[in-house]
Amino acid sequence: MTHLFSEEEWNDYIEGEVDEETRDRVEAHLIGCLSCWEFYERMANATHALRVSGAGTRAIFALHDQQLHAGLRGVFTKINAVEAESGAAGLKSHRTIQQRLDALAAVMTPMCGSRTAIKALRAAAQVSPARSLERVTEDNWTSFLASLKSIAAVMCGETGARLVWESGQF
Amino acid sequence: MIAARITPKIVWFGLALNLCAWLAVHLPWRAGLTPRVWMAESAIKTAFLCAAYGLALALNMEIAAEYRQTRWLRVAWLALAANAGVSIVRIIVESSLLNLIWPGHTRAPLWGLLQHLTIVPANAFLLFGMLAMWWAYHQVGLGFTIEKRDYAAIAGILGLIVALVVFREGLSEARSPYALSRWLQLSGLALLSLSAAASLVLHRMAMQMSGGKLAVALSFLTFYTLLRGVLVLIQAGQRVSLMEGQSPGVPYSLFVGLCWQAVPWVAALAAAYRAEMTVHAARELEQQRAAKAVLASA
Repeated sequence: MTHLFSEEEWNDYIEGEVDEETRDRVEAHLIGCLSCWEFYERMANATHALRVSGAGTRAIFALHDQQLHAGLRGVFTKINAVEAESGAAGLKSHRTIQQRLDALAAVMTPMCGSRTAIKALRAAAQVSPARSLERVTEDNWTSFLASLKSIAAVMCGETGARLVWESGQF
Repeated sequence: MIAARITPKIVWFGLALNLCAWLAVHLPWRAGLTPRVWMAESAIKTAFLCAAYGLALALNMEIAAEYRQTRWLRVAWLALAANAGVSIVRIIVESSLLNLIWPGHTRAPLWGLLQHLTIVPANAFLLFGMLAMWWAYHQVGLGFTIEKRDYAAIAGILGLIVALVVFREGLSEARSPYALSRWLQLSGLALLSLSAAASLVLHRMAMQMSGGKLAVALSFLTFYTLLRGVLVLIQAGQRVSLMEGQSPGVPYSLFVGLCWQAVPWVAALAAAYRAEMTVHAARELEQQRAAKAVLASA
């Protein structure tokens, strides 16, 4: 039930946040409309009740600055600890993958050259689920290695490809 | 595994032995110390060149067996093996030793015909091998590119073959009574030129690899093809420039003689370097498996 006014205007009027012109229009309407007057009274009472109970609740659970800081510090410490743990694991995994990629490049270089080895690693990553060398992880390693083996079979021969495959096994 | 025994060092040694043996027989005659020993010179050339192509044939067959799954490369190395095999027939056919059975064989027009009957299929195999190899490496999609200067060099090679066809009086079979012989020589030259052009592309790939045994093998394949082409050109040019009855100078004859004898060894070196890659991989694999076995038992 909003009659000539929008919900927003009603809310603003009850909260006392309307401009002078709107307030005059609302009050002029309330004088002549009983249902709106009753609606206004109900809303105003409910708003007042909410304000009073909110203030009471805030008083019960009021935090001093020191408590607030201590609480926040605890929360941030926990967040940092979780992030550091997952970051360290990720960093370690990334370093392991990088070492394995370097080892594969070192295996291929004497056979087909350093540039070919790097190109082969990149091409293998592109056709594997990793899509790029930077995204090669332990989860998609086997697919990546299988792609690299196929490329190595052409560039280094089948014995070379077997060497690459076995060198890349975890 | 033949490749484990026929290393590039062995092939280099074979080349050196071949050239030294030939010079040891040839130079005393040039110095006027001994009469010319045709038979010994011819026997050295025939034996060593057949040995070189024989090594190339055996190694190429072994390399082809390495590519059971990669069809184009298997075909490429089999074609190079066929090139070496037909070249052995060529060495025997053009050997002066046959004069012992058929006197005057090397001076007869039939000699040229027989020679080119072997050269044409050998060059066709070479061209096919080069193209199959290029296609196989191109299909991997590692981004090997041909540069502008390669196109220019290829255009230069094709220009030279056109010039040779125009000035074909310089060719050895230009005055052959057999039309087939003349036609075969031109076909052989066209095939050799196309092989040289294809080999330049392989050489560019080798340059873009930044080292490795494969790059060395591809460079030797390029050298094998280009050396043959350049020698044919030099000889044709020399024939055109010489007056009737005039014979070429000693340094020129020595240089061309040595270069032609080096040609089959270059083919063998290309195969030996490629085969060495397999030997290297097999050795590394063996060491890796042994290390893993030790770790597993520890």
